[in-house]
Amino acid sequence: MLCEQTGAVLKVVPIDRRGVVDHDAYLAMLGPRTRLAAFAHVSNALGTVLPVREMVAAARERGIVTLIDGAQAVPHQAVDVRARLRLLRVLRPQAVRADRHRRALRPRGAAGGHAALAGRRRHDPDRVLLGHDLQRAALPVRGRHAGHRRRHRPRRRDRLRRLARHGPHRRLGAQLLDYATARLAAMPGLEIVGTAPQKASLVSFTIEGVHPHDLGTILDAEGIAIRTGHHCAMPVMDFFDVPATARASFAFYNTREEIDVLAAALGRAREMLG
Amino acid sequence: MDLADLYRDVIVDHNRKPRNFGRLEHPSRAADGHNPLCGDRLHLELDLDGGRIKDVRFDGKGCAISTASASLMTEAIKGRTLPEVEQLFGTVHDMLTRRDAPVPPELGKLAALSGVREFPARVKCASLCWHTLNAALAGDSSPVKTE
Repeated sequence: MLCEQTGAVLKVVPIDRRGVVDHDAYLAMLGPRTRLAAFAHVSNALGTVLPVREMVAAARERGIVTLIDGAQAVPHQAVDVRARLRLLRVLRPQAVRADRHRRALRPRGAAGGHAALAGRRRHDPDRVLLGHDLQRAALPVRGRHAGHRRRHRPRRRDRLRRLARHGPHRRLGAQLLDYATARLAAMPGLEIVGTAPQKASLVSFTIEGVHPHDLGTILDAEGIAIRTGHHCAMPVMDFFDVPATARASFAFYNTREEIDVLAAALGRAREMLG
Repeated sequence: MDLADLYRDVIVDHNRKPRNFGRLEHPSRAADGHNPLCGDRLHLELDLDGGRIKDVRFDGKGCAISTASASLMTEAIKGRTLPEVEQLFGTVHDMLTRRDAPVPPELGKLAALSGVREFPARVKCASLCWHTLNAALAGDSSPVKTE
């Protein structure tokens, strides 16, 4: 739509069969007329973690503005704001990236945000903002009671920082991913879509003869929540020649037993419809 | 909400072996249906003979509910007159959307889809083919969307 309005040309960086972005192709595509390089930190459809640091650096060298969708990355890994990236690190996707990045895009409740963030920046460039902070951030910055802030915010920030940097959730996520990948890959008729070496803790897959939407309904009836569909990533679905996938995501609150339950339910779904 | 009520044998069977699946050689009417949120696509072709549906085919990609619904629909409308089909559309629509409505016996095999109404997220899967049929009968060549 933007291209239609502005005459801009959208070029898509190719991926390989694992779902890894072709970095050489990306570099080759950054030309003198490139205005914006936009990418997701983590693919919501495949789980691929992109080397955003290198990608941003390459764009910056050429004076190209970058836009990163960090919604999938932020809950699952420490996003290093200091490394030329200037996003932020938080545990909740509703949270907002802010600080030193030139412009932070906020997912919700925009009013007053920029003023609040600008005010923030003065005091603490690496501040982590949570969704409920932002409700307060939407108030005029100067009107806030300083003592109130001192009492509550730093503690929360420190806790989150500790968790994001050193917390067990990254390791747990990786372990669950390994376990789920092995468990699901061993199932007959199941095809994992997206096998990048650098992956967030999710498995996107198809099962022969069972449409992902039917899987979603069947698993839902067993109390298992997965995401099904094209994940708003239709070009990726076309690339892998599937109409949709089922996607199970894992976080530190999940267990191996739950992955066993998932696998058993998938087996039953295949028996039922496949 | 019982799964067995949704995936009844008739539906599972029609999903595995869709009837009237494919293309007609000389369709007099055709329409495309698309459910953009879930990605289901359906192509429907009709051979009209006067005011009667002489033959019908469909193909496309979709979930079990949408495939079975289209398959059942083609069986149900083949040989019927247009006013009959119109009436059938209304009856099926009520069955899919009105949770308290009794399922009329004249629906025959289509009654197997009545479980869908307990799964609101899946109603559009079942109704896509019927909306596509309406578009084909109206001679509307732009794709039908359920959104």
